[in-house]
Amino acid sequence: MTAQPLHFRLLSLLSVIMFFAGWYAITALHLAPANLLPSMGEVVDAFTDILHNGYRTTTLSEDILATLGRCIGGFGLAALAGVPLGLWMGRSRALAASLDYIIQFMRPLPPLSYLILLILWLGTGDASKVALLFLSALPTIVMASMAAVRGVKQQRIQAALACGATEAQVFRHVVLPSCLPMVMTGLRISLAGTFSTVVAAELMAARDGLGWMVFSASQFLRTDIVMMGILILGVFGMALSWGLLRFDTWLVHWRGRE
Amino acid sequence: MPDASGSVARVSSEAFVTFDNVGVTYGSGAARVAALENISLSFRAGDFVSIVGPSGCGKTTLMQTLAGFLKPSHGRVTIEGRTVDGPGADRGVVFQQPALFPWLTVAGNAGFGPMLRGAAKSQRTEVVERNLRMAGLWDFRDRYPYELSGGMQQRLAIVRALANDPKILLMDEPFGALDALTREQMQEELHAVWRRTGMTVLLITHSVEEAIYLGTDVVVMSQRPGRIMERIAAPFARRDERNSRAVKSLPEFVAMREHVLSLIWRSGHS
Repeated sequence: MTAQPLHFRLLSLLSVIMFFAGWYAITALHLAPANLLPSMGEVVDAFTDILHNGYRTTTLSEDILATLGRCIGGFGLAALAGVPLGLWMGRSRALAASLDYIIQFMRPLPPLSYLILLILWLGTGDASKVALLFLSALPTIVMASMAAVRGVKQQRIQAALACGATEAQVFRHVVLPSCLPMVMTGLRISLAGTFSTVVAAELMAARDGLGWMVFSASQFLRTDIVMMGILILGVFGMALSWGLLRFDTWLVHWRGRE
Repeated sequence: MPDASGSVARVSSEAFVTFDNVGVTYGSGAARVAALENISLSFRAGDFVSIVGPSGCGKTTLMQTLAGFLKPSHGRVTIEGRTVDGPGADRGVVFQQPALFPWLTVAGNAGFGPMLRGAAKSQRTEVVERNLRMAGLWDFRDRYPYELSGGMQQRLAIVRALANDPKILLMDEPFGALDALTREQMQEELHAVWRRTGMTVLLITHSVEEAIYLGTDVVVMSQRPGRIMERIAAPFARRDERNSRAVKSLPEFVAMREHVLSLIWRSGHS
């Protein structure tokens, strides 16, 4: 995972500039109805307004923290439970077989389909949302961790055994580190999914959070606030993924170099 | 002719390793495949045994039964009189692909065995330093395996195996993935290690030349099911002269090479 050469990064930047330029041109030339597509100035105004006065009952930082907190809570719990479970399933055929259908059933299930049940069971507070994110993140993490254990190169294990390793030492010193690349990939995929699910969860039952703000503003046709909310969501989503990617390149320094 | 230089320690007339009528079959019923059949073979401590044969003759399977990775379907393998029952640090193993641990530095890989045994840190660093210096890898101790060339990686794999003071070194095509020049250099280094330590070595190779050049004994195996066709005592490994090109073009070397090649050639077309 080497850094992009400068001219490619400029190219990436150029497309962003093109996007904003196009946006500016459309609103400046009045090519779209103003209530459907706000101008950039209006969005910036909405941002400074909400930054200072908050949106309805919450401040902007409260909304951001609420969304990030749910995300990190649900994802973190899923990682804490899913990685050990998946690793164990990779070792134990019996455990893998007993959970196989449940995981396979959960994996393609749209999380919003069971959100309403979670709200009925756990209420409209954070518990139902964190539970939703936990359940939606779990299958990917479990599957990746299980596949990681099964994919450990036999010769690596044999090399360790011939150095006198016990079963427990093989697991601790060879299997675990060998699994890191695939486990980390599973975590990165599932984090992206978690972030898109958190917003959807906030659309249905919430009193704060970025998703709630966007949904609420859309009901008053405040497209400037909607636009601002989307931009903030996108930036935080990118930041989360980027952070985890940096952690991955640091931790799994041998990725793709064996 | 054989030049008993006597520089190899620990030569004993006792059988050190024995394969006692070993057979290995895979699968069952119609899909049953015999990989090895009636392998009886023994060698003494300090021997350097090369095993050659066509692809699919079960050379690797044979090594795996001694390493303890594979249980023979019948017969038994013993080392110093005890039946092999699983892998252990007394048998160092080196594969064609070095199978190093990429999350550990060169020093970490070299000290892997001592680390597992819980050896004291000072003792560990001493072993690691001595072995890495010997292998010319000391300057790379803080690098990672993927930063090394193929030859250096394989040298590190050998260092990792030797750090456990094994009684025998098992090598499965260790130089098969290296270029020709590196390969010849590695042959010299392996030979030097063997001469210096008097260690017993089992080398599996596709190269007949390598087998004869390095081995005190050359075992020729047949196409599946693998059987031992012939065991030849080779004098070249114990010669003091180590000009590899000169040795490999000696008339007796060439004659032995052609003999082994014709055996393999015949077995492959039977």
